Amino acid sequence: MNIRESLKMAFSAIRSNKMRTLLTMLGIIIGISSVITLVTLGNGSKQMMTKEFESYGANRAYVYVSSGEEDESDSVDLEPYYMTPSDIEMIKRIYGDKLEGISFSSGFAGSFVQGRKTYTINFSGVSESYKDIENMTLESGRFLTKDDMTSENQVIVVDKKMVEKYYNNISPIGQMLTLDVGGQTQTFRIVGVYSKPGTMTSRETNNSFSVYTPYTLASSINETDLYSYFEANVKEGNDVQGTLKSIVSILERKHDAIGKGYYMISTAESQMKMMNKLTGTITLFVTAVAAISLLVGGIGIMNIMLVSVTERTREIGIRKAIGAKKKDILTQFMIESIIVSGVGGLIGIALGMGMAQIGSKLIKIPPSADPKIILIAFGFSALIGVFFGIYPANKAAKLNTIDALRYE
Amino acid sequence: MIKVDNMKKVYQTGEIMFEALKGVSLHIEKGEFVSIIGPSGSGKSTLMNILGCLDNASDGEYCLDGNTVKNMSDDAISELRNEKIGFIFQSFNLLPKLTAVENVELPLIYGKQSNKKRKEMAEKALSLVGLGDRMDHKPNEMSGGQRQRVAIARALVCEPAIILADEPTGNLDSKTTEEVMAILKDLNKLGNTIIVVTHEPEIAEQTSRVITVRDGNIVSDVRQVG
Repeated sequence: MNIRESLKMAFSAIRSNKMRTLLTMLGIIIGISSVITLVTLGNGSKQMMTKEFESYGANRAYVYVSSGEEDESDSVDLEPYYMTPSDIEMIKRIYGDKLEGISFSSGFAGSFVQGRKTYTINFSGVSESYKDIENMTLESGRFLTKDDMTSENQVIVVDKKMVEKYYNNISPIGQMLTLDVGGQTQTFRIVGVYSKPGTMTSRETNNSFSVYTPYTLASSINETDLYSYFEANVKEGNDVQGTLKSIVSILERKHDAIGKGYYMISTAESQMKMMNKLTGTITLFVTAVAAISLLVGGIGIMNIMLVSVTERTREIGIRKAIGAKKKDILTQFMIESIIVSGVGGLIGIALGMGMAQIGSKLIKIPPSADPKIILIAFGFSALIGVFFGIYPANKAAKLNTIDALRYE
Repeated sequence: MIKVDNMKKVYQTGEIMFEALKGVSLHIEKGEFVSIIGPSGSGKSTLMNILGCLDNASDGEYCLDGNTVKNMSDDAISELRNEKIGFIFQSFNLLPKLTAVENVELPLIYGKQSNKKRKEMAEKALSLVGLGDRMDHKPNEMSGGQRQRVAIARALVCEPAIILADEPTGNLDSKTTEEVMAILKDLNKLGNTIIVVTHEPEIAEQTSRVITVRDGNIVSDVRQVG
């Protein structure tokens, strides 16, 4: 007997029990479709995150001061360890050739009312070298200069989006922006326009914009010249983590904090690794859930195949009497169970792709179907058919011909 | 064609031993039309099962068309059944989901025939039993007599060495019984070896040799001029 005949027989058996077969497939369909959905969405979000990290800059890192204690009451007074402009100067002197840029970053916000709209401006107080850290393009005018730092000039570099949405695309360079900052009225002069590659995570809306201003100005508005946070961008070809560690070690020496571990390093790389670890954990969890569902589905197939073998005992007897070998009966039932699980797998894949498509629209990430996963899913579902089909098929093949013929 | 020598069959259920065949010897030549007759429990069905290679004898020799059945592997016996034996059962034993022609094709599927030849052979066999116009009907669309004729077509499609009919007319009325017997007679005239197992003397009368079995022994073996 050839495979074609076996397939024909299996399909006709399945056709005569459509509802039952569909219900049997359900376990496989649910298992496979959930894996496909989650893996596709997971891949999409991973790709999106990778892209975002790339646009953020893979060699970036920041150092912040923290006692490392979650509990506030336990925390030590960290003020002696906060960083000063002279620290930055020292780091620049020693490690300047390894760094694209290094800058404090401290923020404050202001707002102004125009017509019926309230606009919020988020200020980032940074140094002139911040343009070498943040992945941005200067569209027109200039960025902040060293002179702006020392003179605490009331100047800002605005986002191109603000120009588009607030200034109606008319160059605002040289214009003044007056707004309320912490209850005081401040006026800033616009000196430049920057643009950043659009990211999905940016929270900018139509009436909220980000601008850069000298960090010295930020510190006088915040009424402190101590900084708990600086950013750096390590030059291509240097070890990011290693460079930052050396920087932290000289900060520790200078602030007499050796071994206390108050200076924390966070690199884009380590964040990326953390994200990858997280998605890895999620994938593992999903796989475990899917495995359980597939196991249950497989048991369902085995169960229904056993029922089928009993129902068709007489048919098996007839087939054996007229010359079917054990192998023929075995093949017939195996193929049937593989078809049930394989078709279930295919439906599951289709359903999973559909759900991933819908899901990706809902949570706004691009779906990324992995052909490898689809192949594995299909192969695995067929394998379930083999594994859970063997026992019933073998039972059918081993039936005694006379007993089977007489079975009522 | 068939050579049975001192065949015994013992069934054992728990402590109870039952000797269904107590040393049967039998010789059937090619082209014979034989009936095996006996009351129920006489061992005729057991003999039939062993002759049809559906069951193994406990003791004794069985040689079918030059093949000694003893110690054959399961697959080899299946092959032997497929090639040498055509079965006709009392309850027809057709597959209800297949059409007449598909039912007749079935033994050929398990044999070595090519796809195209199979259909041809099945159609020829169906025409031979007078069902040339019912090829695509399913068993439940046919009368009992027609069903049994499909079963006969299925039995002879492989051109077997022997055709074994187990109470072939047991489920049929007298008119269709006559039809079926007429077909069997015709097949015998064409050279087929046919063995009919029955408990009806009227059926046995129509064959050329009557073997009577009682209590696991052959009590008479009469050749008659049909």
